[in-house]
Amino acid sequence: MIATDAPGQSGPDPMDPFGFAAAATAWAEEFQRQSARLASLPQVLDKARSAPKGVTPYDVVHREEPVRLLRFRSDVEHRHGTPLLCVFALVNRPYVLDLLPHKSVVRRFLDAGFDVYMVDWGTPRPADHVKTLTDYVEGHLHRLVRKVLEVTGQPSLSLLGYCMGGTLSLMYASRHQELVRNLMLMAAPCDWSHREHMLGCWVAEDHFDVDAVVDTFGNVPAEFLGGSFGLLKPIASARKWMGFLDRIDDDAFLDDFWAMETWSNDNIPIAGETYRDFVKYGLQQNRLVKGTFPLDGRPVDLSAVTCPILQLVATADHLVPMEQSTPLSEHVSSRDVSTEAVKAGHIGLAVGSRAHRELWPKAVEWLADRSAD
Amino acid sequence: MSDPANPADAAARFMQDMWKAFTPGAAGSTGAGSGSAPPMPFMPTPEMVRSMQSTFLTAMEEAAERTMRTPQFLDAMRRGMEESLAMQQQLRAFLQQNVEQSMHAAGADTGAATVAALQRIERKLDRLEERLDAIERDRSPAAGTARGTGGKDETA
Repeated sequence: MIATDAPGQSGPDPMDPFGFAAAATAWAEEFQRQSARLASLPQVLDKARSAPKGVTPYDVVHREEPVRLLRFRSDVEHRHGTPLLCVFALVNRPYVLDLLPHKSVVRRFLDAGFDVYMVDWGTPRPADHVKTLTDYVEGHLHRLVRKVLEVTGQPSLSLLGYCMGGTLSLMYASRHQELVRNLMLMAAPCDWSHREHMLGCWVAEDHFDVDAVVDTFGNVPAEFLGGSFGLLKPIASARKWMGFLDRIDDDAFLDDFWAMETWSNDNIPIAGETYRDFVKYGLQQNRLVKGTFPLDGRPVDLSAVTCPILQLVATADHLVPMEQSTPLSEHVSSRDVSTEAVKAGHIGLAVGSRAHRELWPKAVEWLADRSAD
Repeated sequence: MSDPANPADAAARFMQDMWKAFTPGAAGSTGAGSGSAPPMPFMPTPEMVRSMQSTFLTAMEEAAERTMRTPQFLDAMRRGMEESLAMQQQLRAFLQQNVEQSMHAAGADTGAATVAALQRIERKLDRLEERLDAIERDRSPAAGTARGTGGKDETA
């Protein structure tokens, strides 16, 4: 500490008026700390190599390349008849919902006695670039839902949709309400009229030619998507790595950090025509809440959704601001619509400590109350 | 006079914004300007440096946030993407054309080589046949004559 910071001292130390000695001591201590951190570098690399991609064991109960339906194993007895199907976005891997034992949304529901399934969309092959949103919602998702119902012998299930997966789940519920008992939507956009955030500015029709992108690439490359998301917060990356260097001798921090880094760099391409549909009709033309979003040759009618809905939103979400999710209640016919907000970012909603402390216990309770036989 | 459409002006504005946001925070983090600050010059501690780093990054974030929303930036981004996509399309067309040409060339070469090899084999077979004929003629002059005559007849 330099003289000026010493408590109860009104002015500089007369023996060290310019603070040289105190600062030199502080730098020597800092040097020692950094040396100790550097000594832990091999361990840091080991942890990076061994970062898990999901932690809960599962069985693949259905497969239609490249899509898989996963059923998670659990020692806890199933107490709720209605199964839960998690539907993640098409742009990243779904294991962020099961990233680490203490940050696993999947485990929270398993421990509460739910039978939990998850859609793994897989990596689209080059030939999949022709797949549209209709193929995903009315094709893959519908078949997977029927498979879950066939395996469990239940008449309906609950859907937990995250981000774009939430929007797909919402569309699905509007077409097959009889098969969806409850709908939980995590940061799921439905109303893109709110354009104040950066992504909204960037994808506006004046600035972004989605047709040119899809016509050029076919499937939209993972690097393009990952790079664009990274550019939205260019300085955050520098801040993240500076924070990392300060804590590379902290085991628990490293486990969390590398699990998160592994997931965030594990991007997948998205089928070109699906991307075109979603960006053009959703982000650019905002047709979902207008009742004109085309799916399988006719518009999606959100008023056909009547089941209980729980919206989980993050107040600091820079990808899907909560203003894009919360207007949903004005467009569906459901009478049981709740919203829970937590101070977190888009991914913090799934893996943040605060979300797991404050949000998920409530979400599990909400679903348990609505899943009785 | 600044020109809003000029990218250089946009960059200059970004730097100005960032500096304006940075300097008051930086002064606060070093204690400069406060009554308890040591007389200059002083030597900053690691804590001060970290605090200044953080202030600098915050200023950068704020300036980047403002800049990335400006019409100049959005326009530059659109143009950049158009050019990048056009280049990608050209590259793809060029590669496709080259691959087609290469395949065509390889096909023609392979065909010519095969035909040449077949012709060589044919010539060798012809020569072998001639030798066999000669051997047979040497062994049996009468048969050789008859065969030779017959051969000529067959050929004719």
